[in-house]
Order: sequence, then structure tokens, then C-alpha cells
Amino acid sequence: MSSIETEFLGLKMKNPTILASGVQGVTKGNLEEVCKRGAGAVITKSLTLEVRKGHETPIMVQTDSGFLNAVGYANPGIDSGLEEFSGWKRKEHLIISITAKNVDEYSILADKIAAKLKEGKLKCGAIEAVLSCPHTPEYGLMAGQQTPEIAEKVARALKAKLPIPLIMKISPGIPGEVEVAKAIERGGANAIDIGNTIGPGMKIDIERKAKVLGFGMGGLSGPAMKPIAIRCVYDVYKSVKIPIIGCGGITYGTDAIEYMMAGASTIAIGTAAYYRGTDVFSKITKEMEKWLTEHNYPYVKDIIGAAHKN
Amino acid sequence: MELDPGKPTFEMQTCKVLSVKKENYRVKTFEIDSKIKAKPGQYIMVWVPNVGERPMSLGGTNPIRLSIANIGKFSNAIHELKEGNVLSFRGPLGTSFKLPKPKAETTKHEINETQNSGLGTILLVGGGYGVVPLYFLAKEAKKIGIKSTVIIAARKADDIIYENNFKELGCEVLITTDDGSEGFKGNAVEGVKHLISQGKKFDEAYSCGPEMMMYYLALYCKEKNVPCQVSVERYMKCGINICGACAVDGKLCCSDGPIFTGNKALSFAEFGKVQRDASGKKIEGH
Repeated sequence: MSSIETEFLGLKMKNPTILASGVQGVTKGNLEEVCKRGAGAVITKSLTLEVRKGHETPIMVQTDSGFLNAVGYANPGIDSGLEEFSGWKRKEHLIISITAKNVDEYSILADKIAAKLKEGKLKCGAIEAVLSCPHTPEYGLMAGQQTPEIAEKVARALKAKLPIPLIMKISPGIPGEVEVAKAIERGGANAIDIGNTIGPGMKIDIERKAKVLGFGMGGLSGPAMKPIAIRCVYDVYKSVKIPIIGCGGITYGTDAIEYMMAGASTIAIGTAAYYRGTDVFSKITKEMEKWLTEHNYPYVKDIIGAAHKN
Repeated sequence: MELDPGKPTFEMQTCKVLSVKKENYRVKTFEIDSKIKAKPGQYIMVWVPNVGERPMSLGGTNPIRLSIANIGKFSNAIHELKEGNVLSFRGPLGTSFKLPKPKAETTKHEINETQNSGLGTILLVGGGYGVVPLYFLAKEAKKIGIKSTVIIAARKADDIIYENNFKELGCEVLITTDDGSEGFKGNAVEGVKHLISQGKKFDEAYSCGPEMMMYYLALYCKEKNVPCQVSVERYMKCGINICGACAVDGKLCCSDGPIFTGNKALSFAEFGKVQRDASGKKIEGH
């Protein structure tokens, strides 16, 4: 049997699957449950400086081979959020996701996290900062944050304060992502998550002659976006040395293998928790193990970037 | 169950409103022309364009039956609907109440319509408009010859709904009101204790309504060793196991629930103690 154990940013993982940020992840209990059901690591819902109720419902609508979502960064704010996620005891790593309106806000978030880490109350393996939400005013793509200049500044500001690894998340659908990835690396971040949903897109209900999502538009997730994210992972892998989390439409073990061959070291899963239930993490892990064994790869890391060798 | 990403599931449906009936000062019942297959305890996500989307439990199917209290912007928009208008929704979603299995030796032929087939009796405990899914359950129970005794618990006489609906099904009904303005004066759980003290026995109890009512009912059922199932409500947004807003401990109400056994619900540290608002912030001591 091939070994599915992996190491990422110096963190040992039982398998390369990670719960993508924004998917479930509101409570510590829920994240523990996702670990029990197979995830190698989990990322919380993104925390912001302010308390956010998020956008009006519907926040999700199904489209062909995917979903549009416009959650709008619903979260109880950094203070309540860090309280919620404190006292993590499981061996799977907890990664805390944060997002902010500007570099100054990012610095404040980093100060708060660093203080909790110092107190010893918060145990988390890494921090993920998100530059790429396509549907929330003042944040991410709607604030024009996915540029090399902003990415580098945010990375530098966070790295100056955080004693743990930093991951930065981008959306694969925006031109110039290779330059953004290089800037993230220059800024000192330790990994890149590719990535967020793409878009925004829109769904109109023709019977009601109305936009379905409460916010009107939302980010596209699921198998429909997978080829775009795979291409982005492939291009970024050629251009930077830091590891990549591949994310977007991973539903079966073969999707995960494809991302890793494009250059991802680990893979994150979100929408598939709808198609295949929360057990999707253990299902995908088993499918990966079977495929690797059948193809005579002793270790899962052997396939990282394999598509670049041919 | 696994779903094929290439085939959309639970797409938004738009169906005609067949009838609108006023139940009391704030609740209206809507019958919707739809043939979706659903089980008691499941819910649909009702969408009003440019207003929002909310989970609503079903009082029946074919036609869909919804009873909705006018308590805010969304339900106010639903209350504007007239016969012949349309309503949009997706579903059914979530888990359902499970009825006790009919005894093996009983055939359909032996089940008579007066509900006196001796297959057993279940207890339905509804608080306020929590009676709605229990009415659906009573209808399904009757089809397989199980009798239902119903407690309709309300704050005051004006809040009682569905009394006649249950009586027309042949259910025994006990009304309880907090202020004693009708029926037994006391809360739902005191009503249950009253029935038990009269020597009534139940194979299983089912409940939907305020969480503290269900919490104390689940505790009482555990003490009396009566299996029980409760419908747990949390702030629900996506309805499909993704957004995580409806977490209760590790489980998500929208897809792991809303129906849980009483003992499972009691195992949640947050059941009866903590809810969360739209941001995920804790609201304690509700």
C-alpha cells in the first residue's frame, strides 16, 4: 500500500486533504468532526476585525457542475473567533483563516493572533490570509487586493508579527496570478492556496425573472472551475519555490492526483462535502491510496509536479 | 448518498398557491401545488426574490402544506401571497422523523381506519407552530395504523393551531397553555407528565417547538426510558452541508438534522444552552 502521509510547512499530516476555508468551520466542534471524518487538516471560516452577519440568503445556488456562493464573510469577529477556536487538542492541524480591508487591519489581526499564541491558549499550525473573495465589498477582489503590490505588503506585515507559517490564498481566475504568487513569495509567505472561487458569476431564475443569490452575484466553486485552477497551479508551480495548496472542484481521488501532478503539495476540499457528504475526506484519501498503489508510487509526494517532467 | 456534480439536485421550483387559510391572529396556512416526495420532519427552503430564503417545515405533501407565523420581513412577504400567486422553494432537505416499525405479523389488510389496530401509540409534543411537522407525522402514522396522542402547547388560547386537524385524524388531543386560558394550565412537559400520571403509555415521543421544551422533554423521556426524537432548529443558511451556520456541537442541523434522537440531542453541549446568530456568534441562555 502506498503511503498517503504527508508533510506540509513542517506540519505532519495523516493525508494531504484539507477542509477549505469558508466551508463549514464556524465552530471548533464542527472542525473536530471534519477531522474525525478524514481531513488531514482544517481551515476555519475567515475571521475579520468586525462582526459580520454576511449577505442575505440565498447564499448558495447550484449551477452546472458547481455552485455560486455569496456568504459575505459571515463571522463573529476575530476576538470571538479566536475564543471559539482556542484549546484545539486534535493531532490534525488547525489553520486559522483571516481577511481584512487593508494592510493596517491585517496587522491588528496578526497582533491579536500573536498575543493568543503567546498566552498558549491558541494552538494552530498556520495562518491563512485571503486576498481573493470575489463577492464581498471592501474585501478581496472587490477591493482590488489581488495585485503583486498589495500581496507583498500584506505578506510582509503578517510575517513581521506571526511566529507560525503563513499561507496566502488567491483566486485562480484573475489574470496576472503568477506575478501575485511571486510577490507573495517575496513577501515571505510560506505557501500559496490556489485557490478561492472564481468570478463573480450570476444565476437568474427565469420563472421569477430575478437573481437568485441575495447578493446578486457570487463565486463559482465545484468541478466547473477545476480546469482553471489546475492551470493556475501548474503556472505558479513553475514560478515559485514555496508549496501550493490546490483547491477547486476536487470531488474524487483522481481530481486530487491531477492537482498534485500540476504542482500542489496538498489539496483542499469544499463543495464536494455537498456531493459526497462530510465523509468526502476519507473517501478521497482512500481513492488516492488505491490509485497510487495501482500505479506503483510508494509515497504521495512522488507525484507532486509530475506533469512538469513530461 | 452520493450526488453527481453534473446533475443539479434540489433546483429551485416555482409552484402555484392553491389556497390560503388564516389559522389565528398571526399564522396562515398555504397549500402549494407540488408533488415533491418528502417525509415528516424534513423541510424546504422557501425563497422570496429580493427578500430572502428561509427553512420551513412541512405540514404535508401533495399539495405541500406550510403554516407560517408572521413574525418578520420574510414571513410578512409570504403572508402577502394570495391564491393563484406563486411560491418558490428547493428541497425537501434534511433528516426525517422515524416511526416505530409496525409489528411483523400485521398486514396492511388488518389495519383499520379507526386507528384501533393495537399497533401502539406515539406521543406528539408540539409547541406553538411546532405542531406543523407533527401533523404530517400523525397522517403518516395513521396510514400504517399507529395512533397519535398530541399535546398542543401554547402560551395562550389565541396561539393554538391545528386542534381540529388532529381531531379529524382521530388523534387524542391535550391542549396546554402557560396562562391556563385554555386546556391544561402548564407547559408541554407538565402536560406529558399529566398524561403519564393517568397511566398512558407511549412507544415513542416526537417533538418540535421551543428548544427548552424539547430539552426537558428529552430529559424526561430518558428518565422514563421512552425513545424520543426532536427537531433541532439553528440559524440555517445554505441548507446543504456547506456554510456551517447551523452547527450544533460537531453536527450541522441542515443535513445531519434537523431530526435527532433525544439522547443524541442531549449529548450536544449546546442543545438547550447555546444558539448562534447569523455571524456565528454565540447567544447563550436562550
